[in-house]
Amino acid sequence: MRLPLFGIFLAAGVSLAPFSSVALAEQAAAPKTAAETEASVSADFTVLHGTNDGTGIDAKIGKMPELTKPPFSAYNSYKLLERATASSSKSKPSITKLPNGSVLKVTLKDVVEPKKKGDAKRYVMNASIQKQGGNTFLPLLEVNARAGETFFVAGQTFKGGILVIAIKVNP
Amino acid sequence: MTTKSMNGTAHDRRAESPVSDLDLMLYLDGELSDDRHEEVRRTITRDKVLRGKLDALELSSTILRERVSDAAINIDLTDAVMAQIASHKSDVSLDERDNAPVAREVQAIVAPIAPTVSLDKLGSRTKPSNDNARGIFALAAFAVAAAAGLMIWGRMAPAPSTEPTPHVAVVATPEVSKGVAPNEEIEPAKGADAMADSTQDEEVGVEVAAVDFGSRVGTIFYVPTEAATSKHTTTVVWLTDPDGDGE
Repeated sequence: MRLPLFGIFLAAGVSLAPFSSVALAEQAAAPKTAAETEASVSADFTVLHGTNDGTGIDAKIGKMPELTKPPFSAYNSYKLLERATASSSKSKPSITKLPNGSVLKVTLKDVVEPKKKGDAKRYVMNASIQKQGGNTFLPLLEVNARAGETFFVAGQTFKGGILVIAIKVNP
Repeated sequence: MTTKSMNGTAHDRRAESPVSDLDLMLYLDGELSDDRHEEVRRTITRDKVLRGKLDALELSSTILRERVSDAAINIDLTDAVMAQIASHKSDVSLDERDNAPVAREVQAIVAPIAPTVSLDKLGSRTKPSNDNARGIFALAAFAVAAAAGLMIWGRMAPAPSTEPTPHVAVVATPEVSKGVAPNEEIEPAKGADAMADSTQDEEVGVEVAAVDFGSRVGTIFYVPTEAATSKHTTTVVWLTDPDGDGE
C-alpha cells in the first residue's frame, strides 16, 4: 500500500502548494519602515570590463565567483576598471561616472526594518544610468538589498566588450 | 508576392508582414522558409528593438541549453527508481508464483476500512500477481492532483497583456523561481508591501522591486553564489546595448 499512499500524499501536497504560497504572500504584508532613523547608506561600486580576449579574470577583482557562471560566462575575461565607495541618501544621490562617460546615479529610497528580531534591515535603492549625450541606458532599477549584498548591472558596450557594475551595500 | 490594389498601385504584401516573437524564435532555430528567413533577417537588420530581442533570445537559449545538458548528465532516473525499490525490499514479501512483490502493509491498512474483504484472497488468488493497479492508481492520483494544482495556479496568475510595449523584462531563473512573465514590466513596489517573506529573503539575495528597461531589452538573472548547496543567489540585471556608444 506504500505506493498509493505515497500518491495520495503527493497529490495532497501538489494541490495545497498554491494555497500555502498565498498564505506566505499574505504574511509578508506590511513590514515596518524606519527611513527616518537611518537616512543614508554607503555602497561600494566596482566597474569591470568583460571581454573575450582570453586574459582571464583580473586578480585585483578579488573573490567574485559569479563571473564564472552564466550570464557572465559569456565573456572569458574580466578586468577591474574602477572601484569606489560613495554614500547616498534620499535627498543626495551618489553619482558615479563610468569609463564610457555614462553616469550611474544611486538613491536611497527607504530603509525597511526587519520583521523578525535579529534579521538585517533592507535598503530600498533606486539606480539609473544616463548615457553621455542624454540617452538613458537604464531608466530605473529599484532593489531591496541587505547590508553586505551585491547586485550587478551589466550590458553597456565598451571597447569590444561590456561594462559590468557591481554595487555592494555596506553595513 | 506582389498585388495590385483598386487604384492600381502595386505593393509587396510580404514585405509588410511584421516580425512577431514567434518569427524570431523560428528564425533563431532556422525553421523559417528561405524567403521568410531572408525577410526576417532584413527586418532585424533595420530594427534595433528586434535585434535586441534576438540577442536576448540567443542568450536565454544558450543558458537553457547549458542547464539542460548539465541536468541530463547528473540525473539517472533508472538508478534512482532501482535504488528506491531496493530500499523497500524489507517491507515486501514475494509471491510464490512469479516472485512479484506484494506489500504486507496492504492488509493492515485496508482491513479497518473494509473488514469483509479478504486481501489474502484478492492478492494471491483472484488477481494476477503482476497486477499494476496500485501503480496505476498512484499515477492517476498524482495526475489528477497535478492537474488541479495547475488549474488553481493558472487562475492565480495574471492575464498576459496583449498590448505591445517597448518595455521588456525577461526574467531567467536558473535556481530560484521568481515569476515575472516576458513582456511584463514590473510595477513599482508600494512601499514595503513588495518585501518578500523572511524565509524567501534567506534564499534570494537582492530583490528587484521595480525595473524600467526603457526601449532596451533586459533580463534579470539570479546567479547562484559559490556554494552549490546554498540557495542564496546574486541578482544580475543585464541589458542589451545595440547602439552602444562607448567604443
